[in-house]
Amino acid sequence: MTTPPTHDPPDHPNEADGNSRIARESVHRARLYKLLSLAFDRPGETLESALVSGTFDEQLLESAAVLDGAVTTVSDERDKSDPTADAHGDLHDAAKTVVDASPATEAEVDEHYSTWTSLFGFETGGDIPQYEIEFSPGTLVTSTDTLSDIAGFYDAFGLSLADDRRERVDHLCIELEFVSQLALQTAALAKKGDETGIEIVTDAQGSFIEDHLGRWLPRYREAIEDGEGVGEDAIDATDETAVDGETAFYDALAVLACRLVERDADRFAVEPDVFAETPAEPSPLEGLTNSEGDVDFRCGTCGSGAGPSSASATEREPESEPEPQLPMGNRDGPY
Amino acid sequence: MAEVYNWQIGREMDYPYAEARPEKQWGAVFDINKCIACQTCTLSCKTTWTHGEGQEHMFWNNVETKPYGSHPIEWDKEILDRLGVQEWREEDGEYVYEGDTIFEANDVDWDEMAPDDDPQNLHGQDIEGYIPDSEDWAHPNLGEDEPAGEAFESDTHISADEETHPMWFFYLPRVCNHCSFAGCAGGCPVQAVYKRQEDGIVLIDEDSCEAFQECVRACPYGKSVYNPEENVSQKCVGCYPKVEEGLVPQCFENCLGKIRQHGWINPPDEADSSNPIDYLVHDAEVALPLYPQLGLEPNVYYIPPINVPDDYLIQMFGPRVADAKETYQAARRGDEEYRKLRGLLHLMGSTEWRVEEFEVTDEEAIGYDEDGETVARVPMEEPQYERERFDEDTNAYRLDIT
Ligand code: SF4
Ligand code: SF4
Ligand code: SF4
Repeated sequence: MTTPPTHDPPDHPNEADGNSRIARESVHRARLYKLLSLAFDRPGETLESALVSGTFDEQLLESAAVLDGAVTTVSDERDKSDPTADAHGDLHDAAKTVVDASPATEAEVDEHYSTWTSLFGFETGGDIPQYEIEFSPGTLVTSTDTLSDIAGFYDAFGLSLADDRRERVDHLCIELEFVSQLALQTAALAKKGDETGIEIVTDAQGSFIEDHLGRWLPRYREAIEDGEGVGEDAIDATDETAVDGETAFYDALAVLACRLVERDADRFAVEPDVFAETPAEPSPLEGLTNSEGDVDFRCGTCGSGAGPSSASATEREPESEPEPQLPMGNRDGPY
Repeated sequence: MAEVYNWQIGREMDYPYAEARPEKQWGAVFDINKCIACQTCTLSCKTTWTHGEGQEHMFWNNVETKPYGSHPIEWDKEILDRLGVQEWREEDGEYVYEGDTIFEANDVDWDEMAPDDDPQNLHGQDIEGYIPDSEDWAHPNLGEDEPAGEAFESDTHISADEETHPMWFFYLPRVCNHCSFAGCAGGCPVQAVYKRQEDGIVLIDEDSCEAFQECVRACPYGKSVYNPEENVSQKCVGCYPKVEEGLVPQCFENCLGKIRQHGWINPPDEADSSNPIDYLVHDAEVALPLYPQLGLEPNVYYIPPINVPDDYLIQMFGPRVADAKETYQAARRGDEEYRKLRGLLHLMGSTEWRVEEFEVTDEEAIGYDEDGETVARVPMEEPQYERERFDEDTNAYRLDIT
């Protein structure tokens, strides 16, 4: 199959319209994911100049507005069938909150750096992890399959970490950037009118959000909301209002990220199964304490009869099928 | 009436399906005397197969301290209670089990209860069994190292020539037995559990599984486990991808104590003395099935622990326990008659390849794979060196001279 040259008039004008809409939306989705990735990362020169020059704010608002608009277009079409589809404006609202809280001067950006470390940085004991596995059940050792699944996604689309960035593949910023890349690829393919290609990258974004990003972002947002990262020391050491203000930036970013991913989950018709909340302090003695709070530790071998379920013989009509065969199979499955 | 011949209980018995033996049968021998409960096997399986969501409570391989440990809790006590009296009778040197198996306890006429594909026909409910509570899965190593028998006193001494010990426990490593008359397969109302023709491994087809948990109920060994996250039942897969390549399963390869031998097991009339599993089970009769009276013809065989009193072991491994212990003792002492057995015991667990044939020469025990290639060589005598007790150079006595 050959792809028609792009300058030919398209056979199906509607399809071409659809593709240019896909291209436009994808570019803005790519930009939002990229900006989020940049903003959640350890603040560096790129972020600083984007913040100080105002491009960060500008682009964030623009892309959010475009996507809100895009949704209006889509929801206009389905308004009658789905009255809840008026998502109009909530990305822009979230982006606006981010912009309101974003540091704008160099001094503010410097402050901002210490907020980042107090939330996420190891050097000041910030304890909000930015890794998917930290929010999923099990430990790193038992989650290597998750890591290899994520790495497999990157690999499948010819992406790898830059040589100077040594990072675990389940890091938030890398996952965000991956979706950004796929959105960009979508835009490029849409321009070429490569339907098969679009389908592949679209499916991949859906699966990635369903299996990874969408499963833990809401938990991550909650962790920031609960302010788990702002240790006592960090608050004492910094001007309190500044910390609050800066935390507001990450609060708002997390809300924006969640809304974007939720909306994309709808877009790709996937339903991420959000990880269950992990109890703050799992107690090995849970259920073993009595009403006075004393530990009543019994080995459990006594009196813990397993639930018997009596086997009741049900009457049945005699069947005339002698010698039924044990289900057999081979390495391809049952016969 | 579907009657099958179960050689482990020396008689025919009822079973929902007609007898159908695979071309080869996955089998194993575990030497309990060597297990140290390091749980390396447990973890090697856990990290390979059951590290997903919904599998937290699953230990396809587990090691429990007997008599007090069990996973799921009290699985053995529960099923033995349900079966009632379990007597064996001796007949021309052969033992015949006189009690009921789990397929017979409820006096079902399997002709009338024929399994079909109708999920409404829960024929498996007539197999004696129960579904453990969630709590029962929650304590995988309860009772570890708890001894039975007499209490320890400050002057307790167990002399070397004492046959059994006054206080005792032992470790029982367990995996799915890939039973010849599998309860899990017999109980499944939609025939999602099947036995592979080429190796006898019992698998659950997750696409067909409808989560009735009838296999969980019908496996008296507690080796079929429900996964609430995936809404299917799951069980040990015998590490079939490795077995297909001629390798031994994960929990065998990683066993620190080298207590495990994997191979093919034949029924007694087809036994082949050069096959290590057949040799241990049928020739030397030193390895015995776990709770044969349940009637499943399980394919993991155990060399019983020699320090443990017979009565408990007979309940667990059947009436041939005393002979098995004696044979093992003799091989250990170095009796010439049991030289071949001793060689094979040395060979156990010495390679990641499946030993399908073995040979014991004057100096060594040798294991061969399917193609006759040598995959293991073990000396019959460990080379031993002895040094002078007194070291003249340093004018000191050595404590350790061998
Ligand atoms: S041990 Fe249990 S799960 Fe395994 S084959 Fe036997 S009945 Fe089935
Ligand atoms: S044979 Fe494989 S699947 Fe079965 S218990 Fe051992 S490691 Fe686990
Ligand atoms: S690895 Fe071997 S020695 Fe260790 S607990 Fe398992 S069976 Fe026993």
